[in-house]
Amino acid sequence: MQRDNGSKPDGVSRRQFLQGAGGAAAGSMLLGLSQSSHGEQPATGVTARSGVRQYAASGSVVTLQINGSPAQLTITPETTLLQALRELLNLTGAKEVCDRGACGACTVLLDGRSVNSCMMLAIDAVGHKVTTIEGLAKDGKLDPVQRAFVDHDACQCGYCIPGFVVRSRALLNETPAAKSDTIRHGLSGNICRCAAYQRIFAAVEAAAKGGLK
Amino acid sequence: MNSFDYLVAEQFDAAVAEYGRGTAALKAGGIDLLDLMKEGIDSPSTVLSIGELGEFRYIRDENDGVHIGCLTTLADIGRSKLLKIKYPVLHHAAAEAATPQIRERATIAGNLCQRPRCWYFRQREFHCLKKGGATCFAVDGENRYHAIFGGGPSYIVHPSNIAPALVALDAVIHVRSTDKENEPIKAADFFVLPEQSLKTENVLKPGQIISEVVLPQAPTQSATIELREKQSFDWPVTMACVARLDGGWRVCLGSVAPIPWLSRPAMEVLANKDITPELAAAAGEAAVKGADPLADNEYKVQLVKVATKRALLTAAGLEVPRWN
Amino acid sequence: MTYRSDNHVALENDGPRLDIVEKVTGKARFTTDYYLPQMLWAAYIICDYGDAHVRKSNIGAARAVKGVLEVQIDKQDGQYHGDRLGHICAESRQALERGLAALDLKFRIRNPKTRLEDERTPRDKLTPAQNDAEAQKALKESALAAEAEFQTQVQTHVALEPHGCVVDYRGDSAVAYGSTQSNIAFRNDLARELKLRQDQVEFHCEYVGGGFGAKFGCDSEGVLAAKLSKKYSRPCRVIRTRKQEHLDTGNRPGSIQYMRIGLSRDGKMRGGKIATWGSVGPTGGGQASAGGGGGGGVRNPSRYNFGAIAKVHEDVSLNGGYPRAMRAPGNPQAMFAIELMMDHLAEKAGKDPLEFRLLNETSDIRREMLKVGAELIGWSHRKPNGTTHGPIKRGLGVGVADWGNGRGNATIGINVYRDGTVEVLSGAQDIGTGYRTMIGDVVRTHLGLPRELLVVKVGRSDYPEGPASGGSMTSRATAPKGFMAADLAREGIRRLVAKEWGIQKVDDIALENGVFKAGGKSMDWAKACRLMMRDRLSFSSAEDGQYWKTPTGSEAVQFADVSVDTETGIIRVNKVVALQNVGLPVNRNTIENQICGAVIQGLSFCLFEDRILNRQTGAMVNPNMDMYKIAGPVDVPEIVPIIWREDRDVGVNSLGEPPVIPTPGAIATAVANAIGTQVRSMPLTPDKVLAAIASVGPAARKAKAP
Repeated sequence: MQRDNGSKPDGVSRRQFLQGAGGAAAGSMLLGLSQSSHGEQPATGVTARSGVRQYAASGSVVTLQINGSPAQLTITPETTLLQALRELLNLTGAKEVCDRGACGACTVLLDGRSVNSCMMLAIDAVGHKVTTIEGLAKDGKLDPVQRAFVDHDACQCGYCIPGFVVRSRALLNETPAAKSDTIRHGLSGNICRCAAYQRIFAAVEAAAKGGLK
Repeated sequence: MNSFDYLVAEQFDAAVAEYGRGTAALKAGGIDLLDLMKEGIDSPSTVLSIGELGEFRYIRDENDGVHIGCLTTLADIGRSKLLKIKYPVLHHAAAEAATPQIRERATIAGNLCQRPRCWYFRQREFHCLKKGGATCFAVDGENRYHAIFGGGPSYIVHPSNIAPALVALDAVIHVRSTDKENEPIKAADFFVLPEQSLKTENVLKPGQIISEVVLPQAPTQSATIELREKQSFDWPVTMACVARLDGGWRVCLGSVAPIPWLSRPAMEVLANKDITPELAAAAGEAAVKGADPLADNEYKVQLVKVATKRALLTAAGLEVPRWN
Repeated sequence: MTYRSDNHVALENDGPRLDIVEKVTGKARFTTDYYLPQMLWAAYIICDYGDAHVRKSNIGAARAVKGVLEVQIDKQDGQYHGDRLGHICAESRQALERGLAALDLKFRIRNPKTRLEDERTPRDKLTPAQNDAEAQKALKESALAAEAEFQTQVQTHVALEPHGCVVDYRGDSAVAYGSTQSNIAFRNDLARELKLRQDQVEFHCEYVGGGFGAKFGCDSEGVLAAKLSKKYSRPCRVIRTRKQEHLDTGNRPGSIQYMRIGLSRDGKMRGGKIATWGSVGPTGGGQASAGGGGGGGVRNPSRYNFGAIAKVHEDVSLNGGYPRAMRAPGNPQAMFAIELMMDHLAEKAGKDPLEFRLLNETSDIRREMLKVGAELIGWSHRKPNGTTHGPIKRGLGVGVADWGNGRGNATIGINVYRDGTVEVLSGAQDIGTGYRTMIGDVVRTHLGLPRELLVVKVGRSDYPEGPASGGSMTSRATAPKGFMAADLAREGIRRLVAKEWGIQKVDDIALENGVFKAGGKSMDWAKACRLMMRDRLSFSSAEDGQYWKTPTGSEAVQFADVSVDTETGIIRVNKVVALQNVGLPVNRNTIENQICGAVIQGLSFCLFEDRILNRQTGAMVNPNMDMYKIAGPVDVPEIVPIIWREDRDVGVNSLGEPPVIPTPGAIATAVANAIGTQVRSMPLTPDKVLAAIASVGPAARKAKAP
């Protein structure tokens, strides 16, 4: 469904956000598959021994804070944050590309800082605020970083772009007036195989100059 | 990844006790362990996380030196003004390691304890010496990135960027276990060669957890030079970390040996002299003494000379070649 | 004449791509993003080594894993790392992973063939070319001759979206999602696998995460997903892992290229001999000498006037994954060798490399581009080889390319709705090039309508036929049909206006900036559309008509400015000036983005990328994205993309492939200029650069002295 972006460039976030929140319920159901394969009841992390909490291999109920809303999930410990987002919460903006933290396509914000969601257990996100590409736009308006990516056509196939946008957001959270060299180094954990780098750099520079309102 | 029971420590003492039981794999940021588990190289049935112990994430300037908590991330080190100003050799090594995203999760202790990045070790297809097999594939195989010092029977290079910096700074790694409340180990004594142990790369015994790293003394001069093929995320092909403590120089090389390679020949040349371009070059020449390259990694000998020389020049504030 | 029958699309478009908002918000849904209810997960079981026999497998244990539905081993012998031995199907990703772990295959490894240089037939043992005598004669008559041998490595595509397919078979129909460069071929392949009619398969590839030549047809992923979806009457997902992407989804073959070329006294090439070897899969390749498909061919000679060349080529089988077309197959590796050879010959002839090229250039357009590019990079300041001051040396180099532009089949459909919406439909896929934007801009600017009125829908099998996106085909095949269909749409709405206004001759009504005008009256597009008294008017064209225009040769010229740290062998590319003839330019953003991206991919190929097979086992040692090194943000140079001479009298031409061709040659010649000697083997890594420097350094000169 291609809508000319000139028509309603900002009218994108709300539905995506709701889709994500609604996905939480579906998430638990989906994981029913893995529960049935173990035939055990899931349990929340329990105190195993003094000072040690335990999450059973068979699965536990955890609550993650995703894009400002709680999402209750039943997951097994080896579930990565990326898998939880994509497979259980229908938040498919973050991508699995290298699956080893080398390409940045799975980048999400954890308490405002960027991490590879493929290299992190979902359980480790408990108690932290997770923001995905779907949660960047606020009140129906694109985040200034997204806006800058749009203005500069900072993209080709687009598969890496959610990762670049989220990483750029974290970079500017930390260095609001980042200049060219800082931006390049700051993005060095992301790979764009189409190599739309010129446009990406220009977008992030513009977002930095724009003061990120 | 295999399925496992996940234990999350809420207190360090509890973590030490739990780890002392000998049944769990230890995890901090998880970058290294997850990588190994995804490839099926490690498949622990229980994983113990110390990642939530936020009180072990600190950089403190105290009377006996700078204390860095075991869960301090590489990004934390990168953000530390104290380290940037007083310990550039460590700051640079940490701030440029891996990727910005990895650095947010990777901890100083995890970085020191990570397993080799050797492409044979990291792939399940190769049942190599370090994984209990009979062959170090590097010997007769693709060995352009492997060791030129201290190799045999395995030729891995130590993967940590910050380890050579800590050795150069003569840092002390503090270890806890159920047996001992606190055991200080010098960074220079922390790592072991393959001829001593194939199963591990350091002296830690089961049940021992790094609690903090202490930098006893600020160097008067220090620097890190990393030489990489790619300037974006890449492992250095050669690294040199130099630091001047009490007037004397310490030179530690990275990515060229199975351990951070303290270059005594270079240190002897340098002693406690002030750096001149000639002295830096002489130290570079000395640093390659004893190098024993494999078929495809002789170029590292040249890189060691240059990295050592440039690190010393940088530390002394002298001119080094710059990209135009 | 009240409206221009000629198109007027030329660089007036510099809006961002039409789908940019979907892409920056994560809304764009790629094949891998489909997780359907009750979906099965399946994967291939692969061979772990180059040439190996399965001596032990634990199928029982794998089948016993809860959630595993089937495990099947079809063959016991694998001929390359990644060779498909069988498959596994499970209820969930976790069950799939556990099943694979439980299978625990053990292999007996034979002696894999891993290196092109070891396995090729020596040059003197190759059957000489038919015109060998002619080339021999040209060499004999030459005043000067030079020879050299060049080598290029295997490059893998590494599209960020892996190959994959999700098939939902529903008895008498199927809905499927696939990551592909050929919507139609994928759909047809699936229909065949599912034994359905073509119309019964609804295929989607609205978003494709890169292809670079490796994604045509439904491939092994579609075959497996279709088979299992049909068998279990449930959706099935087959997505390749990153490791398998490197191993078994194609690559740019490695090459060795020998050249011996003779020159006349005035510096013109007279002819000579070229022998090339290309690495192919264990059972051979496809086409031979010219490159492309699954073959190991190298397009050497090309571009320059070499005179009488006797060329021989051998496809050399290795125990590695099969090649597939990769962005200008056979070309970048050829131009790496050719440009270095041109410099080598120029030096022999005592000429400036640029002057030497101008002398032997086959294209007038490129001759002009060479002159303009030289000015932009500052060629007049170029220093003699290896003479810049200090350990970090600077150099300039040059490379060229071109591409053929033939006609292609496509249909563009346009629906004009009563509310004025113009819906452009095309079954062709946008693999990241900006096709969606290009065809939208063609229609919109041809009609003179604002972007708000336009909707472009691409990448579904039920849309009008589109070409496969290969051979830089999509834009040139579709653009003329876009103009034609736009003409029909304009005509259709204008008739309504003519009727309303009682005008006999529709040609008297103009459409400008979205407003119809005639004799002082005016009516905007949306209002005119309300005259239709029906839901929509549909138009389409499968014809090029007057809009097929003389194609260009997609000529390309690039100049590179590099710095080389001669103490470490590390190279940095400072700047690349990339001139590109694109025919009629449509959207500036997408064109410049393509050019810059191609340059960076060419740089990455030249300096970093390398599929490395372990010689003992034949296993690839770097099937990942950290040890398989791809240029990242800090490695990117300043790039100056120049759209060459916008021309309304030529057609919309190809762009995907041509700009990736000159880059390795331009960088390699710049490096040679910097360090004073050529590095003739890609990638140009520090070890090779240092070795090349050492070979001409004081020590080497001393050793050579009598």
